[in-house]
Amino acid sequence: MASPAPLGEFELMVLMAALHLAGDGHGSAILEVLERRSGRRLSRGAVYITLDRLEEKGLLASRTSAGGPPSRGGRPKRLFRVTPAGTRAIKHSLGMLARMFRGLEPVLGEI
Amino acid sequence: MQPDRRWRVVHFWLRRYLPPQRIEPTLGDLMEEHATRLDAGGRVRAAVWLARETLSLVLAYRAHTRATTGARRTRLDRLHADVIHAARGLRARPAAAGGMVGVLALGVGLTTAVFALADPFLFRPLPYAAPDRLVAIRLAADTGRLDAPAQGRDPRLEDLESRSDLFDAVAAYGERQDVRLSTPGGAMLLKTVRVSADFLDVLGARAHVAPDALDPGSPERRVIVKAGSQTASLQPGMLLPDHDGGHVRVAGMLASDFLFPIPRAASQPDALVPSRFGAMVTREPGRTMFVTAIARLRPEITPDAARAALRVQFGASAWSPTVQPLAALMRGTLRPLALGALGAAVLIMIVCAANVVNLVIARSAYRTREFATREALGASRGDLLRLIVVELGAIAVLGVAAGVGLAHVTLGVVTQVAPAEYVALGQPAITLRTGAFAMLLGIAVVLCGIVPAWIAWRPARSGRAYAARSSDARHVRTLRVLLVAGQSATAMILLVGGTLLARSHVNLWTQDYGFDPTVRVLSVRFPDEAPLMSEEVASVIERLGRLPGAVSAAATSGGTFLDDYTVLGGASIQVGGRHLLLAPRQVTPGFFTTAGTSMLAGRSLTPADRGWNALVVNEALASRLWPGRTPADVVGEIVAVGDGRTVGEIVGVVQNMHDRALDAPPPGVLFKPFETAASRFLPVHFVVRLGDGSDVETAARRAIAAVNPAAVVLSSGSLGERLAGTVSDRSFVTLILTLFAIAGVGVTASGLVGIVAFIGARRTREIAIRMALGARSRHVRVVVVREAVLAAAGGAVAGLVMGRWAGRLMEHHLYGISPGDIASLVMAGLAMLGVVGLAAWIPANRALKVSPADALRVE
Repeated sequence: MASPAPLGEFELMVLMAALHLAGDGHGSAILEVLERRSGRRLSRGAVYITLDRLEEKGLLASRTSAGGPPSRGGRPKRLFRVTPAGTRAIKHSLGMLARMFRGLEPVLGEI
Repeated sequence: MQPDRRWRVVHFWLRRYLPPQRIEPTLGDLMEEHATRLDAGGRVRAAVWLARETLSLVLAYRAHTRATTGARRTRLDRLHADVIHAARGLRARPAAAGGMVGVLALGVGLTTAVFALADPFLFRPLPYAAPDRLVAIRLAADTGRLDAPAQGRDPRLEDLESRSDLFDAVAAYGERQDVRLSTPGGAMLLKTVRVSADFLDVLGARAHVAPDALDPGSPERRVIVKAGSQTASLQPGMLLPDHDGGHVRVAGMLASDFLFPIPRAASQPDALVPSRFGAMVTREPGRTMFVTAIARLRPEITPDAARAALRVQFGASAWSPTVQPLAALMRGTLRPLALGALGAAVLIMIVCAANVVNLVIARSAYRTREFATREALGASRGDLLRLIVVELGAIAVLGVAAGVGLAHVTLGVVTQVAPAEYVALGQPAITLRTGAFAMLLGIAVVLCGIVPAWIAWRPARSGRAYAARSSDARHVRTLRVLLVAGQSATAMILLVGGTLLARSHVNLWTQDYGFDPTVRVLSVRFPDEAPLMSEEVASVIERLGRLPGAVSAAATSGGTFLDDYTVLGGASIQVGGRHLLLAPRQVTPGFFTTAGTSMLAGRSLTPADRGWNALVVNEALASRLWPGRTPADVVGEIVAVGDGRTVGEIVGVVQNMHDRALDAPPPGVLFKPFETAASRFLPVHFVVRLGDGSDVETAARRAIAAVNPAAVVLSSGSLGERLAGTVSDRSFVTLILTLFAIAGVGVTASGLVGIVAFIGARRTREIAIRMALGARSRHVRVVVVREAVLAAAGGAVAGLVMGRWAGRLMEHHLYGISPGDIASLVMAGLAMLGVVGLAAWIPANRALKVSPADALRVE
């Protein structure tokens, strides 16, 4: 099987955030995980666009929930799930990083 | 913003830029998180968050669509790019940006605060329905004329009401009348005004009253009470005993911001009492009588026409009518003052705007290359102009936002110290109206800045960008010099005004008042029904004198001593064939010692003195009655009282007391022993000298209540505080103008710092070469500061001349000093010189620290 196209740093982060939420993550939840785990403030627009792009690439799949609670004005959620291709892409990118890291422990120390 | 409307706005923007299938889930996400933030952080934070997130989504999807479809950049895209560019530019030079925003915030803040204060006196309509149709009618007559035969009867309300050709409705109000009530919380004295039945309807004022509450035909006595801290214990429908043995019904409540249509804030009543018109016309011998009414003009009638018609109507009687628009009456003498203050604030604003523009021009010198490059890459004039507008707009938005915050804080402080008259027409605050005014100021700054900034950037357009790098174009320099000179002149005018007022203030407070300002004074109203006896007063004095911390106590009659009562008539005094009508002031023994008033000759009054046998005069009266005589010569003089059968001996002369007002010349005063109060309507003032500054307030009130439980303490405080109240108006004006002067000078100084720093930076290469060739620092410094200092000095001289002229406009606010006072002008000039010198020296010194090698290498 051909190795998937490498992911950008932000795409990798978004995919991993979706993976953390185990198929139950909507836009706001993914943004919250990203900000909490990365310690960075991120633009909602950038996250939502990236989610769309990853879905177009087939790395994410989304479904729309039926209706929503009153706090959402009855509006549905768009829930994201990482596809097998997405999982492979994550593995591939992390593997690549791990290989690059290998041998640099004396310089960079433990991460 | 209303919740529905808020989400409609968000939905509008999402629909515009997001793919249709994304809109609903995204809106749901925003709603859900917004609700959480609303609970946690408050409305404002949640609203800011929502705006930021919506903008983030819109911009991201717009950029994404453009990138994927290859659509051309729209105007909005270009504007967005300019905004980002401007924001980056400001962030890259935080000191310069902070300086510009700070200066603008100062100007906007001060001007907006003054606008909020001046607005009710200049622009805002009175808080009545259709206030421009309301007029105040006053009928005045001298009782001497009234007593003459064939002068007709007293006017009736029907005389005015029958003029349906002039008025839609008419109501009258009468004199102030105090109503004393017994409430569960103790005795309460309500300042009331008699009004006719239609009074509130004519005004169109908000009130919670029964339809017949002001019916004068009601068998029970009624009051309509204004809500407030003093009347907090009163509720509609309460029936309270009064001190006349009857009962008074609280028939309704007026809103706490109800404004009675009279100009004096101190005379604003606590309550209205329904009354028949006849009861509002009182006739007493020797008095000028007034009838006052409020009328709503018919739409087509002007105040002048109504005045002319009433003059014809009352022409044959002794009553002469005056008709004045109610707004003019209410705004009174403060209108010109408000106009002057707003004018001064606008001057400050102009200085600030000039400063901002100057700094923008200074910055532009660094950017001629950037503009030339943009032009070479195809930017049109419109693109460059838009960039200028956006940059100025970004500064204006930040400046206005900070300015509104500053105005809010300033108003909070000013309303604490402002005399009641200045906030009588409504508490000044940051409202939609004042916010809009601040935004207008920001827009004005942007508009004012466009042309000079455009002129400054002109070299780029003519392709001389590189040449322009090392030296300014002449037109830019001229513009800069004019702006510096203009702001310097404006600051100088304000500084001259501020110095004159500050020196007046010092004159006021360093003069000899004629008494000790730390002495406490309690003004007390005793019940009206029984004449006040000196024994009762003596008993209070005796109790006050025994209070812990009290050294001595004494009393004086009202009507003359730091209150707003006027004694009409008085006693006729004959001296050497001359007759004088004087209202003698009654004082108890020890009054002068207690008040800290020095005896210049003779003795004070003693308990043995009675009636008119022993009298004391002050210095002013002594020199008026016996010109050229020393105080010692006056002692022993005999004066005849009334018809001459009573005589009195002058036993002492005391120094003058500034007891009417600090800025009023001391009146001639005749003191006689205290026997009965001059009038049962007037208060008695008890003065207490304290040894250790201890507070005797509560104990003093108890001592007074022990002698007469129905006595009401009208006010209490030190003589100094009471005195300060008489010049609070003057002090407030001084404070405001001094603040303006400080702000003006500060802004000018900051502008100078910016300009000299700019010149220094601009001529870095020249300075480096001069220094490398061995020039002395002194000479190089002159090169850097010459242009700015000469411009500022020229402007200051012009401002000095104009300030001297402007000083005449505030002549009536000066005390013990003339508008052209040389010392004040010199002081203001020296202060300006110092500030200009310092503002130029600091950045010039920094410019000299450049290393010639580094500077030349960079170039």
